[in-house]
Amino acid sequence: MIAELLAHGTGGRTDLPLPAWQLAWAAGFSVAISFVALGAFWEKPHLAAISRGRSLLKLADGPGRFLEFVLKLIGLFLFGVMLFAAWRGNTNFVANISGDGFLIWFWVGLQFVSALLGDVWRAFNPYTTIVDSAAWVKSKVTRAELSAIDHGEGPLWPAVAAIFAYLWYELAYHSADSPRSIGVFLTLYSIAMLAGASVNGRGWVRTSDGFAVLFSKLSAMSMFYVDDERRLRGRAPLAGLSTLTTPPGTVQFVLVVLGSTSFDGFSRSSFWGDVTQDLAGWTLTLYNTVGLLIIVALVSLVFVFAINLMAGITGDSTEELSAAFGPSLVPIAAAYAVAHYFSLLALTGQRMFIHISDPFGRGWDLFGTQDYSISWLLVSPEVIAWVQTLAIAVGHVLAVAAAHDRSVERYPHELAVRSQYPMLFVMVVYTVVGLFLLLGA
Amino acid sequence: MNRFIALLLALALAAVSCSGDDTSGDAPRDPALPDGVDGVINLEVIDGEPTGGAQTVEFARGDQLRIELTGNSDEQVHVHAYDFYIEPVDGEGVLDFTALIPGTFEIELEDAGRLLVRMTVS
Repeated sequence: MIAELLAHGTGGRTDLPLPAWQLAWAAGFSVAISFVALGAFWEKPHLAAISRGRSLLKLADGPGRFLEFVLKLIGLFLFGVMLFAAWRGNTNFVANISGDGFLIWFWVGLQFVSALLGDVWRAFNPYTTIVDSAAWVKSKVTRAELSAIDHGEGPLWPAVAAIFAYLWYELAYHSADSPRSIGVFLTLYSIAMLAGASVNGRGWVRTSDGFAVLFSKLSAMSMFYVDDERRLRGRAPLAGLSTLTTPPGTVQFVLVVLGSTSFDGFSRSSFWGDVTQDLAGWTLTLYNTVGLLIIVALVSLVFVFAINLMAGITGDSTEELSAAFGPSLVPIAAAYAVAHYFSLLALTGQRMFIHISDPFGRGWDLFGTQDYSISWLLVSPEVIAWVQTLAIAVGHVLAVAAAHDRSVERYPHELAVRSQYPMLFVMVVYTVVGLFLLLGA
Repeated sequence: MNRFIALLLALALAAVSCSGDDTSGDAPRDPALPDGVDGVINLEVIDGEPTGGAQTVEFARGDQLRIELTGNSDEQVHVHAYDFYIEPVDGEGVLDFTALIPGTFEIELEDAGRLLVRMTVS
């Protein structure tokens, strides 16, 4: 049995360190753009006005519902395949679809898709499908009633706990790759979601399923969304951040995700490698857990510090400011995800070609791709380094722009500019730290 | 405002200065290496533990490498991503390969998941 690979997800390969000159370039660029934001950015809010976008496509009710139904079925089917593979498939993760399917394509892939295109997962999410079906069977709840409770947004605390549970599993637990471990995790997570929903109602899943919450927050910066009348709409990237709702827990949620990605980068550093290289099993898990908590705490502290400074400048409460400016961290979270996981998706992710022909590792060859061999040179280290550098730099610009827009919406221009000093400080710190983590030092 | 600008500049300078030196360069070839081999990784595994703990090694892309395994382990050794395996016979085995894939890779005792080497190919 293969177990206990190094902690970070599907292990075995990590990127080369980012070249120093590239790091300097991106850091300098980010600092420069922050100055530009103070002086030269717009003086009136822009994003809210364009956040509705244009209607692109309206499916008639019949085909629309049919499509929804098909997507839900696909979601259920894939969920079933993952669970079955995890519990009953080959115990070697290289020969089992559940590791790469869950840790790479679901977790990383859907973050990219959500931030770029939109909240695709919402259409597939098997938990809402199961809860809806149960509600319908039990009491013949109608579609209108279902969509009404869908919009209630309670506090996100359960989602903070759920996403942290996953991130702990992925980044700290020593045997995250093992299909049976994935089976245990998925089963426990699913029981928690379904039990919670059966007690608290369907709306609970939308504020408690950490994955769904993350994908939906990331999709606020995406180019497409589906409105209340099930019309597909296009909008400028980033615009949706201006209308993102921020129930209690939103900022903490984003900070946990941001901190965990930072820990993932940190855990690949030669420093952490030296600390943990002769550890294994639960000792390794313990070290990683402590490291994860410390990095999440540090990342959060920087934000809390800045929000307190802002409160001093503007006279607003810290809760209000967190809710107002939390969404502008979303582009940084997306940028970190791209910078840290792009090569994992592009290189290791190719193993999915093999898995689709033989998902359970039983020697099947459903689509004739069973002996595909991974092209490790598909993207060169130079391309990877540029993707990382640009992701961090572009994420920084987007975050600064979103925060600036929010501040000119709230304050007169002069105060808006002053209120942004602490926020720019936060973002420069996150960006420079993010770049240093890519240095692998 | 001025203090803020100073802070930003300090951060930028810190970023640039910490990353200034580049120490890479062609190391002279070790005359003790066998013909046609650019680097050797010596691995001794006794009772499931690498002697001296896990090691960190660095090579250049295209290097011809050799892993020499000694000790008393009968466990498979796996070079990740390259996906080469050494099946030890009486604890010993040799693997010759060319470092064509850039990145940092783990070389492990496959069953126990014990890290033996972190190999960087740049």
